[in-house]
This record gives sequence, C-alpha cells and structure tokens, in this order.
Amino acid sequence: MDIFRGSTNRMHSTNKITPLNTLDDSVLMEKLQQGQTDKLGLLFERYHKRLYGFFMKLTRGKQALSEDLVQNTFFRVLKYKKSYNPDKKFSTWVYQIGRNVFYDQCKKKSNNEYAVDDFTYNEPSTKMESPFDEVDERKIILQKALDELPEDKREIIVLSRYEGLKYKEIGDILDCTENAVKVKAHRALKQLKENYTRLEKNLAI
Amino acid sequence: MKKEEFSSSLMDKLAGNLSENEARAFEASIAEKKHLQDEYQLFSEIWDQLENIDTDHEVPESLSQNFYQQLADEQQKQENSFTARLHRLKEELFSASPLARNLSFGLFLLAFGFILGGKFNTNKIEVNHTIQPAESNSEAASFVLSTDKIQQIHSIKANPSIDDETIQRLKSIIETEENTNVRLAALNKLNLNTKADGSLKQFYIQQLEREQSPLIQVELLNSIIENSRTKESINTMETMLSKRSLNPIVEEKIHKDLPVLRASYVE
Repeated sequence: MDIFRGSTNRMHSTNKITPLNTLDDSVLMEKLQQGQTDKLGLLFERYHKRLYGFFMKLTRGKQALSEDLVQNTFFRVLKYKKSYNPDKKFSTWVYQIGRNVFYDQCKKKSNNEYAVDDFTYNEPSTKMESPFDEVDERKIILQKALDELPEDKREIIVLSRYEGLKYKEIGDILDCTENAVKVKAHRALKQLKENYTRLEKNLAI
Repeated sequence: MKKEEFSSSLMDKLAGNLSENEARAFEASIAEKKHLQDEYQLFSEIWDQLENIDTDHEVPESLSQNFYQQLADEQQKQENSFTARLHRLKEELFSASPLARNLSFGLFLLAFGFILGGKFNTNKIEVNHTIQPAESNSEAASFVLSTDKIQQIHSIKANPSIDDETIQRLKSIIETEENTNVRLAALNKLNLNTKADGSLKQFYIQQLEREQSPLIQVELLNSIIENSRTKESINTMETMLSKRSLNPIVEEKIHKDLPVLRASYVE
C-alpha cells in the first residue's frame, strides 16, 4: 500500500465567526463554564454599572460597600458558574446572585449598618424660597421616604422602577409569581407614599 | 374589582405595560369608584416623582481596577492548578523546538504501545476476535494502515531537502487524511525538510483556518511562528480567537504567539 496513491477524504467544517462583544451572555457563560475565566471580564463590562446603581440604592448610597457588593457578585458568578442554566436570562440570574450577596452582607453586619441614621442626609430647610427649591426639597423628602422603607420594599421599588426589569423577571429574581410581585410593589408604593406624607407634614410644622 | 386585581392592573398601568384598550378598560372600571380613582391618582404622582430622584451613580474607577486585579489573581490560581499544569506540559511537548522531538516522542509512544499490547493483551484480542471477528479485523487493519503511513512518511529521504512532488503529496495528506497522527507526521516532515516559500506559508495559513484538531492547530501555529511568519497569519489567528469552539489550549497558544507575530511587523 502506498500512502501517496490516495488518502481518505476528510470533511472540514467551517465555523461561523462571531466577534466576542456580540456574543450572548449565555454563550459567554458557557465559555466561562468551560474554564475561560477571562470571559467574566466581558460580563462585568456589561453589567457592573447596573449592579452598582442597584446596590447604591439598596445601601442608601454607600459607595465603598456597593463596590464590594458588585465585586462579590461577579466572583460568586465565577464560583457558581456550573449552576447557571442557559435557558434562563443571565441578567435575571446575576440580580438573583446580587441580592443574595446583599442579604448575606446584611446578616453579617448589625442592622445599624443600614439604618437611616447613617444616611448622609441634610435636613431640608423649612423656608421654601423659590419653585426650584421646592422641587429640590420634594426630591430630598422622597429620597428619605424611600430610604426609610424596609429592605424588601425598597428592593422591589428599585427593581421595578429603576432597573428596567419586567414584573415576570422580578418574579424570577424574587422567586415568586408575577402577580405577587405586582401586589408587593403596590404595597411598597403605598408605604412610600405614607412615609412621604409624614415627612412632608413634619417639615411643615 | 377585587383588591388584588386592582393592584395588578394599577402596577401594569404605572409601568406602561397596558395596551391602549386595556388602559381604557382599567380607567372605565374605576370611573365610578372614587376611592380607587384617588388611589390611582396618588400612586401615579409618587411613581412619576420617583423618576426625578438622582439615579445616575457615577461608577468609581477603583471598581474596575479592583475587579480586574482580583480576576488576574483568580486566573493565576487556576493556572497553578494541577489540570492547568498538565495542559501546559502537553503544549510544551508539542511545541518544543526542534520539532523532531514531537515525532520521536509520538513514535516512542507508538512503539511502547505495541510492546505493551503484545505482552499483555494477546488473550483479550483473541477473545474479541471470537466474538466480533469482522469488526476487530477492520479496527486492526485501520490501525496497521495508519502505522504504515506514518512509517512511510518517516522513511522519506531528504537530501538535503525533499522534492516538489513529495511536498505536494505531503500537503495532500495534511489536507485529506483522516487520521490525526498521520497528518501530524506529514506536517512535521514538511516543516523539517522544506524551506518555507510563499506558497508553503500560504498553505499553513489555509490549513490553520480549516483544521479541526487542536493538536494539529498547535503544530501549524508552531510552523508559522518558527519559519513561516506572514502578516496574513495575524488576521487568521485573530479570527480564530473569536470562534466559539476554539480549544482553550489553542487559544492560549495564540494569545502567546500573537504579540510575537505582531512585533515582527511593527516597522
């Protein structure tokens, strides 16, 4: 037999080429699961700003703590990469991890850590000198009213009002039904309004 | 309207999830109930006011810096793990210069396998032969065929280099042969005994684009980096990096080789 007289035909398949920055989150997760740790960097680039904003609202503006929480969230993604289900949205999963990280942190620290007293908040002036000031005062009162909400209620308002998530997605994050999310959000909004009215009255006295 | 139903519709209305018709139906359903209308009015106001709270938090630079530092540490930790070291050892074995070492190592393993097989597996082969004679014969034939091919490639005389006809045949084997070891042997022969001219450099790049075996991909990358550097190979490697199915060892090799290649074309 002479090797040079004929070789077995072999099929070469051509792969589709996709730039890394257009890859789906789930594809990046798949690569991460295969051991390509650097892909965590791409996911970080996509989500760290949103998560930072989320934590800033949950921690009432604590910058250093929010930074730590973002970091811990991504390294928990790395640690539990195998448990990611590609049929689910990565954004929902990462928020789920993020809130677990936040609540774990809450458990570690005493309740005072997140108490309203810690919040750097300037008492609004009792004099309303101009319409511009009035708008500013209202914003401050609303922020204070939001900060006074218990964690679970503040969280649901943040997720539904600021994070651009649908009620169904919030349900996946909180592990409850879409309807339950709406009822919870309604209750949270009700308490927010009560806080706001009380703070406004206090100001008027 | 039940309380829960009202909550659900109200929150959908506020979030803008209702269609025009649904929104009209909701407004009609609360039109004659003043307490629900008041509640809707109240919540609409507070929902709108929430929009005005400063939510754009500037992300501190330290966040990214710390994250990437920690990620680098994590990668370092992984690289020092046993599995990673095993991968690296494999890569080093197949990328070490001179390339003859690869072929020798492969042939050594083959010979070792033959001796070991002959010593210990004689009975097992006989048993298999009795159960499935046709299949075992075919497997054995295919194995002998591949070994024959490797021996033939190895016996090609290069004095001082191989002729054009043999080069074409070796190329053909690399392009069409099914067995990875045979392709590897042909590639080594070609690489060791030919001067890389333009057409051979082009051939390596084309093969790198088509090749599916990570082992051969690494060998082709070695051939390119050692004596067949071209500007075009930079694009090919960059394209390979974006492939979803790229083997991690090959990816690491490209990451190592690309800067070297780019540096060759700085001026």
